[in-house]
Amino acid sequence: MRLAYYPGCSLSSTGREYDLSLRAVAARLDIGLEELPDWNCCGASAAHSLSPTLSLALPVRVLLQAESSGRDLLVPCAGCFSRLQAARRALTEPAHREYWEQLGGGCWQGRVRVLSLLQLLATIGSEQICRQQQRSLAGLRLAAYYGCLLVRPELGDPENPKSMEALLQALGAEMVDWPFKTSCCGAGLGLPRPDLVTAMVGRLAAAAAAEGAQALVTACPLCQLNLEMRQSGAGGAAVGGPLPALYLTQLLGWALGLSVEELGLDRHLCDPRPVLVGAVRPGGDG
Amino acid sequence: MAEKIVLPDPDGQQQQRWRQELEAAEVVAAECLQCGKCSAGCPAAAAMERGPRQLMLLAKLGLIPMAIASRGIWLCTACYSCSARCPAVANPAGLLEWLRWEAVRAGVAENDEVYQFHRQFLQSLDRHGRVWELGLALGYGLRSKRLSPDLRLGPALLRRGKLRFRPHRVSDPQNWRRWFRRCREEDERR
Repeated sequence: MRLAYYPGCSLSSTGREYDLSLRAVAARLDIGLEELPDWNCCGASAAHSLSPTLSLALPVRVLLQAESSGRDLLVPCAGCFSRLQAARRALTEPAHREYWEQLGGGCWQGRVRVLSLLQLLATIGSEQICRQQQRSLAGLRLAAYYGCLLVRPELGDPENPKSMEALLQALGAEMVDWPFKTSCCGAGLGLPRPDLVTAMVGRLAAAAAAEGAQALVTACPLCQLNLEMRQSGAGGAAVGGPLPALYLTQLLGWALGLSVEELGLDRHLCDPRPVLVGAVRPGGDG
Repeated sequence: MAEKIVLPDPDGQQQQRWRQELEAAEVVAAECLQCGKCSAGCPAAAAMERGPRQLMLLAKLGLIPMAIASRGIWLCTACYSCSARCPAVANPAGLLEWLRWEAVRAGVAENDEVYQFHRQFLQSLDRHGRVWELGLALGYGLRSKRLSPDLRLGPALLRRGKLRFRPHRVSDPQNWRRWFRRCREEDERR
């Protein structure tokens, strides 16, 4: 499988582990990723707060680049994914297509799909991933955190998605049942309103910790950084120390036998290695 | 407290434009049942003086000036919980987004810190085509004169290779800026 790849801004900076681990896992699963050559920011969430034109023109420009590549577009960041979905809807409407094509500088034929990480993994299927497993995740107790934009609007189950749980359970992990897996962490407001966002993250982390989770799992670079950074000021989670926030791709990569460095596990603000090494037995049952 | 509402719109032109734009944004205020599921599930409602349910009521009544003056619209995280749960499919998230656009157009957003942050973000985008986080955090901190507690984490992020000292750019920044300006002009033409 070969895909066009739109990393977005976060994956080349604050979300570097996501980019590293995603590329490493893709290589292991024989998925070719071709980064779009001259991509721009999708604008989330400033553009769609301030500018009706930029809110769509920015992601339309990206999508039209992908269209000329002719390959489905993998968009790992949930924020980017949501905007690119909106761009696709805009281009699909006959009444507006020409306007956006003209502004975005390209031609839309509707060939390419926009894929989130969760959608890509669903396409691959857990059987194929488990066949290549080299480490079991047994002994890990995790809370899958979907946040908002991987499940809303209009994507599968907006309240109780289960795809991350199913995959990680198949790899041996124990998943907690908890009520906040699709509650917003507020990442977009982190800089201007840290007071509000710290409270939102605290509530999430406390709920996950109360269910006995050792770490949170996300598929969004904005959620990951926010969860990792803003637990300290918040009530509940501080009891046993902050919970590490891992990318889904890091856990997959770990199960597939990739190393700490390949997965960027040494780059976290809240070190996840004690949890992984403490729980995971090499050799595994995969 | 009773508020006196003045609508400087004698021939109803503005109301007409609002109605058209809300329709284009797929917001159906008329269908709202005022059940309150939107505000109940809103992660930011507790910090808003008017939550999504009240804002929807104002939209239903055509009281847009009151709605855009409500600073809570800037605390919406665009998480879409409200729209996902709305039994009337009235689309509160779409309403909040449109209210922010309208607040910008009416010039009533200037004093809001979230608005200022978004503006700074768009400036970074205008210059580089991609967001430069370090520049954004410092620029926003200096402008708002509120150094974010996040900046304390700067050294740790830099050490881990997670912040760039320099922006990363699209290949042709001059051409990019022309394009960006064109989009901004489109906004003004709306």
